[in-house]
Amino acid sequence: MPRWHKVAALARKEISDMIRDRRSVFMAIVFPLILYPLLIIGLIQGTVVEESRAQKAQPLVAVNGRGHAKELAKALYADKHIRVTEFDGTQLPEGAVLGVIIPKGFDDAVARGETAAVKILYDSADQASLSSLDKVSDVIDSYGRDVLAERLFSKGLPASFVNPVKSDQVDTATPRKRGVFKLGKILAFLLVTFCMMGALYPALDTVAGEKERGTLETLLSIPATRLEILSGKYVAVFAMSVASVVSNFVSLSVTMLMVNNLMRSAVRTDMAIDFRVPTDAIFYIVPALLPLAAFFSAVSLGIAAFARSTREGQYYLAPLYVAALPLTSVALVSSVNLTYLTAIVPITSISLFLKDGLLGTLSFGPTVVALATTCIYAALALKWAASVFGREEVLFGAPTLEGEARGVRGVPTPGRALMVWAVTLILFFYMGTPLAARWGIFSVQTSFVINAGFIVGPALILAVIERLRLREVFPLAMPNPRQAATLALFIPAAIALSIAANVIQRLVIKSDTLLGSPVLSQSGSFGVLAVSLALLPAICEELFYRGFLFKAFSARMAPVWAVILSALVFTTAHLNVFEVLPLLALGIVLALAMRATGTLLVPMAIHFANNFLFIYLAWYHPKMSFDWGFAASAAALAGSIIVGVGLTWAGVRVAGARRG
Amino acid sequence: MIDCRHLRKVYLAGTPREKVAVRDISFQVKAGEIFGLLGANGAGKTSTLRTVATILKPTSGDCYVDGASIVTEGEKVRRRMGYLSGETRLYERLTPKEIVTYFGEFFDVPAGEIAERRTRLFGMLAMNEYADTPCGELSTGMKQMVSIARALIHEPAVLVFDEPTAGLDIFAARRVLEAIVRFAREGKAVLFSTHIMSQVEKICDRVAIIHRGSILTEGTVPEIAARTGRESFEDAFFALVEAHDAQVA
Repeated sequence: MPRWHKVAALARKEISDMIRDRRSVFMAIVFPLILYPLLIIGLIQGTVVEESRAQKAQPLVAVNGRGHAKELAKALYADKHIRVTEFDGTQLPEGAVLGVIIPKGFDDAVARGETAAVKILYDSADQASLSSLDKVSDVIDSYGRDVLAERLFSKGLPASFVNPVKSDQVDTATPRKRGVFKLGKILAFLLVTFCMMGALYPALDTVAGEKERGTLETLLSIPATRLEILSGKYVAVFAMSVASVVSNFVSLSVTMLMVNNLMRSAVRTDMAIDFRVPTDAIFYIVPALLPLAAFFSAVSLGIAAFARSTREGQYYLAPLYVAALPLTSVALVSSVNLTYLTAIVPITSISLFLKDGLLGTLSFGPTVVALATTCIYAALALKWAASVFGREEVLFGAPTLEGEARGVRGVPTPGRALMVWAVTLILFFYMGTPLAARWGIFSVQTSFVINAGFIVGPALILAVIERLRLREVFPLAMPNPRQAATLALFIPAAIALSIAANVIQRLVIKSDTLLGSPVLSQSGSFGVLAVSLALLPAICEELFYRGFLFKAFSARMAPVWAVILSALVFTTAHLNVFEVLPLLALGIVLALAMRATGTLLVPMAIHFANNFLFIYLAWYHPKMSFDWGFAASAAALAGSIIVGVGLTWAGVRVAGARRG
Repeated sequence: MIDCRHLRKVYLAGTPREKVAVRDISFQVKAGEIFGLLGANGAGKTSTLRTVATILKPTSGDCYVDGASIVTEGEKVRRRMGYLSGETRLYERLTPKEIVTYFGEFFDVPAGEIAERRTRLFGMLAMNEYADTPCGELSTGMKQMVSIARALIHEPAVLVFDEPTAGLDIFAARRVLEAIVRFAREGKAVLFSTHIMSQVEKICDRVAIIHRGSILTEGTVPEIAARTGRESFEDAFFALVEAHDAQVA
């Protein structure tokens, strides 16, 4: 446990240093205070000005066939919102934004009691044309109602004849509730975003900035543990994140009060919206945002620790921001609420908690889960940040003296391997579609060019250019009997875990993956599919993902990270959200098999067996589904996970764990 | 005061990127003595001093600082040591007074004593003129004086200074060297690293020449010159380094 008086002294130093950093203070506290009044008041005034300008403007409308509809034309010419000119019915005259074509016999059709049609030419990509459409439609509808009234009168029918049923809609929401409904989503989004922003800059400054300025060594020479030093920084970053949230909340509340006062006089009483932020919102915001600020502070500190400068740190933290944005934006979707499922999704849970809290639709169970999971994520993130902060190579950088490359010469760096991966994706994006259009999506030719050319090709070219050791990057030694025997364990393990992943997927998103695919079952022949979807990917993807990429990762990071990251890259490369879990499971088993046996022939065989089985099922049993009902699914899930994990473990043990 | 025994530091040990920075070095520094560690850039000086200062963990071996082990009693070591290097810079947004006060707190010096010691140190190092100026506005020489005051606020028995004159002009460097000599006279053990031979000749009582992570020789400046049969200390240094390189090759 850290000594709290030490942490407090360190936090005081960090905060006094931090609040003199104008950049951090501006972004976290001053910026929101200026932003909302400027943004919201400016937006309202801009909208008012624009609407008033649009109302006063008289767009030019061109009419063809004026003589065919005397009364309608008269009404159009009389409307003070538009100016009317005539045209030939083909090309709109200069300045006209909309055309009305009245066909011959319009008045006669009206007189006969028929429906007379008018053609309107408008441009849906032009705001002036769309506004004119509303105005012209109003005139035509008004004329239509007059005609209808005359027809009913002539038949001696009352107006109610055409409206047998009428609904009176009464909005029971109070102005306050209407305001909260409109405000809740955006408020939740903004508060979560600024909670994160409030942590990012101070974390960068206090860790990466400390390295950049050369003060880290000074700090490490004091009689405090690394955990105490990190805790001091953590408290300071957390305080800044909370200060940012408070600043945002205050600024938003005051701004919305001003908006409310501005709008109160301008809106009809029955439509009134009370935009004031509810005073009791503070009771939702504080418990929701404290653990989230704790989470963001820890993650930001851990990531920032890897950077050597604040500039470098900005690059590292950008992915966090990009990943957090969609998770936060979920609150903007009206139909998504805090449930037991969404309550375990980091960031999203708090975003939804805030929204539901403001709307008054919170339920107890998911709320507790959301708060508890966020606290757990914050604790895990802090533990991770502490482990990062305790690593010498992270704090002081890797040594760059002579001999640095000893042992890794011959293998690409992870950065270089990822760059080659990006090239494979680009080739696939831009050239995959024309190839599929030419030879068919599942043809052997397409598969060969994509797998051998786009996936293995760039890696091979780089390996030759950089004179990498090909045997090291693409190890293809024949497995010894012991290694070959692991196939009997790894293949069923991969299949069992694939089944488990498919069952989970079926339960969660109600969709099967490969099985039952009508496209697959109607393509080519089974032999062609076996080559294009099983054999070629098994050879080429293994050469790249478990050879080139996994070797690069293994040379520079702990085995567990090499396995997980290579599996994640492998999964991402497939660009298929419906196969995320099965691919991740397969990627992990393949990487473990590679690490355990040291030859690519083993993961190639596993990959082929796995793909072949699923193609076989899709081809011969196209109706097969993982929709087995809850009880059977749960049993299958538990069974397949136990079997899959157990066999994978056994495979690694039998091969005799060796460095990948 | 400092007793290093078979100290070894390997970066990223056990990984393919393993790099041996310090190989089995041993030396002692007595109270009141200035011990110089002389070597070229990349020789292992900073790794040695960072390890002695417990900023890095030794891969093997140990070092006792005023009786405390750097392996098992890191915090005790830090309490008894003032550490400073060219890399140990300052918080530019804080003033010298604030920095020295915060570091006094970090070392658990009672508040009243911090003010007293600070006044004494600032007077001794002629820092009063800029005591309340943010460090970002100070010259490099002034900053190094602040760093020295920061390293001494807890009155350590041992000082570890890694290239403390790096980047300083000749006047500032002279002031720093004078301060080091004064601390040694007060009875502190000073471990001092540099790549500038004139500084070693001028202030060090004993010196060790470090190259490629190993100590090649150790003794007083005249002893080392005599041992190699060279007239100047500089010639002796190059003779030792070249002989070692030839042996390795």
